[in-house]
Amino acid sequence: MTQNEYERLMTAIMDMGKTMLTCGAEIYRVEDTITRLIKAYGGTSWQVNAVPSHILASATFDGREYSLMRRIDQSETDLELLHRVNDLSRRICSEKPSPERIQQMLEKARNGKKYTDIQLSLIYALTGGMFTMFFGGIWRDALVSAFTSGSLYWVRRLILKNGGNRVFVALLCSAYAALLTKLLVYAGIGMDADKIIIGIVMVLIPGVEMLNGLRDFSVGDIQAGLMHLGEALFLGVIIAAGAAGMLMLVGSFGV
Amino acid sequence: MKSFVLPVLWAALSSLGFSMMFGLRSKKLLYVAIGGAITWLSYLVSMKIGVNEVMAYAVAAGLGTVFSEIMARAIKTPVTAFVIPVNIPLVPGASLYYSLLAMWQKDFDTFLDKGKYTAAVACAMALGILVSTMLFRLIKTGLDKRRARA
Repeated sequence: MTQNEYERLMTAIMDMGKTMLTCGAEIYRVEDTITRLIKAYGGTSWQVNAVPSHILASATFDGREYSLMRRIDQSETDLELLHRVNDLSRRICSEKPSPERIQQMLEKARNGKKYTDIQLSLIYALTGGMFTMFFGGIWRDALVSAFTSGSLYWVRRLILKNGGNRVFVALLCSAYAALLTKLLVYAGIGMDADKIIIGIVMVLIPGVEMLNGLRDFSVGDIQAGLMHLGEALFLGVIIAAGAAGMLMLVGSFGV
Repeated sequence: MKSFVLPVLWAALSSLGFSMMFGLRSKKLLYVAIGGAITWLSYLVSMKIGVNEVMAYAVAAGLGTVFSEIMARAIKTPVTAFVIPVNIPLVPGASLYYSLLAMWQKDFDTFLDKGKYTAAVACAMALGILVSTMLFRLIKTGLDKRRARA
């Protein structure tokens, strides 16, 4: 390969790494995949460092060193895309396609089947309802929880579409959940507001960050673990703030 | 034993829903639901046979991770896709929320109480995940070495 091709190869490899990290892969998996790809294409030495906010990598091909970095500015956890990119990296290591081909394959993986908005809102409803049952609610509580979680998806989508970030989404969504739950309980549909809200909170809670953080610690990526757990903790603080504020507000009206 | 059926079912469906929220599809969903059931069942059984609550979380997270590692290898998918939804019933989201809610309500006793519990559960889960992940890594490295020698 020429120097130019090696440059494009590194770009493609880094784009794969970025996609994996964005959709929820652990740090060691991203570093491992980038290393394996560099090795597969005949890199003679490599340095790879990933943390939740960026990836740095440099590799030597034909006696020349190529260094690239990627900033990870937003994470949109997608376990199915992660599965596809993982398959892709295995295929690339054995088939060694050209850099352009890698980009095409990656693009195809990104454009794979996704749940539609309506399906997702039903999934949110199912999850919220089931968590309420899990925490000991009765079926009427689950119904309220399912309705609130389902509509929550649309609220979340609206905020994200208008440029709100995850923290703001957490604040407004938990306030919305507390308000709707309190009203539905007041109207006599739900019984136990506490069990309903906790079910919905489990939908909002950054469970992926929390578990990834614990897994990072387990394999020795302390820096990444701290970043993940810190993010989870702060989002938790904000979710609680939204709910607490709304509960106080509706409480002052006697609901 | 009969009292275990419903909670385990709700845990399985919660895991299923959670994995779908993050886009998971196809037959993987079935395994995620089974994994969620195994995780919560191991927690309930551990408690029943007298393991303390914190250690029960470690045992459950460990067994859930073992299941995830096995299934991930069996159907060639990243362990992450299983380990996150399978362990989600254990995540101390409820106590974290109650703790922080109490903080905003200036109820510092509850804040500390629930906070301590949350931290303990998180540590227990880290232990469980650590032990099973490392066990699998040791087995894998051992097998690879044996294969390389043969």
